[in-house]
Amino acid sequence: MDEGARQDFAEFVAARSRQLTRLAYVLTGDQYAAEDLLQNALIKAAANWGRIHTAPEAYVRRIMYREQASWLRRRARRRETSVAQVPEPAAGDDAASVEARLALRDALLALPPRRRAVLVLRYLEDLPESQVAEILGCSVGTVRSQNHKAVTQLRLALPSLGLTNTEVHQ
Amino acid sequence: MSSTDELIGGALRDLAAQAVTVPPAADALWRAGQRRRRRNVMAISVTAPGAAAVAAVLAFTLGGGGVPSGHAGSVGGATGATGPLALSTPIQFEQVARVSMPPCTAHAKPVPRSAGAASTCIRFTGTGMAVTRLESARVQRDPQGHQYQIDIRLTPADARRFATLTREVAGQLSPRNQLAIVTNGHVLTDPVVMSAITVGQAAIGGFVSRPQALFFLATLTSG
Repeated sequence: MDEGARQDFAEFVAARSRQLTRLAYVLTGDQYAAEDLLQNALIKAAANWGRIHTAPEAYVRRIMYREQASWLRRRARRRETSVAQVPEPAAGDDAASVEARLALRDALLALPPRRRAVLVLRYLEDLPESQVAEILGCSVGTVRSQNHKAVTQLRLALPSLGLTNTEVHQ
Repeated sequence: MSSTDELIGGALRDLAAQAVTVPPAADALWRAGQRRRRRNVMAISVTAPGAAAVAAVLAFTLGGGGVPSGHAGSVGGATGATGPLALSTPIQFEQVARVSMPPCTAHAKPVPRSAGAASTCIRFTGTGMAVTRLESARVQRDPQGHQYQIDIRLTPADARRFATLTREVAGQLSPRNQLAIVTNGHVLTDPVVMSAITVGQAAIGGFVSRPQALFFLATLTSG
């Protein structure tokens, strides 16, 4: 691969690694696991650069989502996930709402990776179910059921938040 | 957007903001990617229990006929074998149809996994190929440098079949994008095929030592 491609790759990494690290962190809930996840995806992107250089970010994101949501990782990572330290609440925020958000964040970290990946795609990236299914390589039905289970799990963990399952109320 | 959507979205954004964003070393990643591309090797992830499965294959082979001691040396000395090699035990590449939890049913094969993780059971689609000759085989350290792998080069005819097979498998949804490597009825590993492998090379990894890899290679070629 020529020098130009290497430079394109370096520019892509420099421009997008912050956002991609954040996504990896939301998916894994762990700094080291996030760095591993992103690094592996970027190595795959470098290996296939000739094919994917027109849309590298979509490729890297897809690799990370699929890797994190894969059946095996879901099994292997059932163990407790360490919860990162609590950040300082932003000045001016209502204390009760900050507490609720922190509790919700902890409940999100306790979700199995596949369910969390579905929530990230639906509520952080705001993608429709069909696109979520396409990215994760599963059916729309699986996306719906994973989404439903995830919201149910959050609702049971945090009854005071009043979370509702959109499918149920449609 | 409902309040549930907003609550979950907000908590996910809080979480994202906590990440420490250190820029990765792009040059090192690029070099690793190019090594991967040049070798076009299927990523292999057999570790401790995988090694146990390999040992089981060895035991089976030894029980079936015996491998002369020191045989590893005769297939290529310190690093492996070169020149066309006839395999007494064919290497099969089988497309994975389904992955399920243990216990494995009669039609599913157990797959070894890394220490601490459960084994899985896989069924094949019936699409696959068997290799009875190799152009060459070589033992070397894996890219991470922690373990050893056998790099195999297929004969030109097999390489063309392998390219067709991997091209077909690579485009499919998980787990049908996985190819299991099977010898003697034992699944050694079932890597995901990222893209068509046209250079006729593959690697069987997960050996904890060079002698173990050489010994396994010897069992494939003995007889």
